[in-house]
Amino acid sequence: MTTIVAGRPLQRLLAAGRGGTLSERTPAHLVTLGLVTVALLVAPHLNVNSYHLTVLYYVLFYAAFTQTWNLSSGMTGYLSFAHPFLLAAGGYAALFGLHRGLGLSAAIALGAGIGLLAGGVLALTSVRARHLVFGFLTLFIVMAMEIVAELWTPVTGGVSGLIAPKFTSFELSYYLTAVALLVTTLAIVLLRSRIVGREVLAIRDDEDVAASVGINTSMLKALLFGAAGGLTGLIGASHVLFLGSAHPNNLFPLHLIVLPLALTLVGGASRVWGPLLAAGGYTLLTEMLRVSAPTIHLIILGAAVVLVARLRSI
Amino acid sequence: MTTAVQVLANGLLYGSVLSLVSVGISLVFGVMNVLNFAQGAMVAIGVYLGYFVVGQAGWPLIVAVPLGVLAGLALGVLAQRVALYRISSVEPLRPLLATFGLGLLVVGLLGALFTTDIRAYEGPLRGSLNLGGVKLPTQSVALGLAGLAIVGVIYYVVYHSRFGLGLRATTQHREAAASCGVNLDKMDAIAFGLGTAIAVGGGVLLSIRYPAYPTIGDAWLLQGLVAAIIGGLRSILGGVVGAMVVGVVFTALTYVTGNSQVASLLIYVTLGLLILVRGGGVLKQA
Repeated sequence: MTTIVAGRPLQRLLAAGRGGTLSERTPAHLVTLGLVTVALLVAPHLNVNSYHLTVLYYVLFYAAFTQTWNLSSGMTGYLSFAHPFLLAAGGYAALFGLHRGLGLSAAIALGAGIGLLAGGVLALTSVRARHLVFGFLTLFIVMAMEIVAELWTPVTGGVSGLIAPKFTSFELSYYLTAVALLVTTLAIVLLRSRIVGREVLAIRDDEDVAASVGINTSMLKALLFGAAGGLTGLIGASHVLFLGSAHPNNLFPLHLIVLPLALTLVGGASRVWGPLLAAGGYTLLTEMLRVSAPTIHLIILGAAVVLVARLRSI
Repeated sequence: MTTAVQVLANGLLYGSVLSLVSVGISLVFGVMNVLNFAQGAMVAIGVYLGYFVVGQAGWPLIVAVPLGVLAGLALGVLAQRVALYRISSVEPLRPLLATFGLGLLVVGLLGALFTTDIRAYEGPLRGSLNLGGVKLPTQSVALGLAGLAIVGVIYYVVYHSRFGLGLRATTQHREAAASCGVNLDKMDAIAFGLGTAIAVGGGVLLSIRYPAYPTIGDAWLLQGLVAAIIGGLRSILGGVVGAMVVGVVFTALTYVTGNSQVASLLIYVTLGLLILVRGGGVLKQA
């Protein structure tokens, strides 16, 4: 498989000559990603109070949660409502592991692994169902899984949830989420600069045509949903450690079902920075307005979704 | 035997209430090809309306329910113009997202206006009826009958009016209807208005038995979607039949398993698998 090596003038010219705009900005993206990495490393060590740290964590959490959705659904065009299912799979698995005597790193790895399997379930669904039907099925999956979380008391703690058996530091959750965000963003940058990324985007544009020119669409979908599942599972594991518990109310709330979809589409599906900026802006805006209206996040998300649907082709 | 009749009766009553949601979804999908995810939020508006108008102001139901239907009609037409106007048939996912966003917006606004507190009042028609050993709560019977009455009114409008003829023609074939002079923009607005009218009017009814809180519509929406899909997503009658099937199956499963959540789960999983096995055919044929 040929790879377009971005950054070299001749290849860039060639790529541009073939109408290839995907790879040109890769060096700029990588530099920006480096700067973001440094900023994320430094931010907690600045002289800030714990409230600012919490807000910072939530900006990071929503950004990472949105970006992993962008990696799977944004790139392939399979709009999933079941993203909280991946988060919850990772979160519950990690705490279940801790309760069964696993070490901290093993429990987090278990969370990521179960998240990966959950992503595999979505990939399997996508083999049989497309577009509207896929969206519909993922909505059923997330609703069914919420009920499962409430009923499967031996594993999930049922309606009272699972308490984290030991205290972990803020830094652990923060850096794990940062790693998930950076890895996901890097994956999107690299995908956009390579042929394989174009193959993925071809699935979004027209899956039948993509398949007819020899692209293994099922494998690509499985790869992306699996990767997004594993990364979201990791975010889920670090999130329940941050919260100190895993509970259906925290892992399956209405706004988490639609948040990654809304923010990715606002920022631009399959784009590198748009979804991140949308997620960061959303978190700061809701945080500022939360006191005046507790359900303001739903109003903002709802209005954003309506606007996107009105103004933009998906 | 009495138990079986009891479960069946309860299921049918529940189904006729559920038909308030599924008929609205079928009507909107039939005309506009849009799965209306805002239907649940519209039910919530109705429940709040009922809480304030019937519970607080003490209006009789016979006035409050038609008021809810009219308010819903106006709200639906407005919502269609704002959120859905002329994006309906372009891409299937866009209108779906628009209704989803509309639902979130309504839930958020309800929460901002009335907080997320659960509000309930002592509704009328308490107690129960005893029909030859089968005991039924009076409220359920009233809800079921009134729900069927609302659906009946909508049925009459759709099958015995000029608007209704246009609606049915649009359901059959949008382009052909348009070429015969049917104003599609108007039909879309009316369909969405009628769907919302059923939801809000039904919500006012529901308030005598169910408490008001912003997300009360979610459960109704999901079961209503299931019912509408089973009914074929095209006709009012299909919506009613689907709702009856879901009502009876749900009530029976709840009785057998002793847990309504297990019953919901079984219904979701069954329908999900059905769609998977048939490769979306359940939706496509609609």
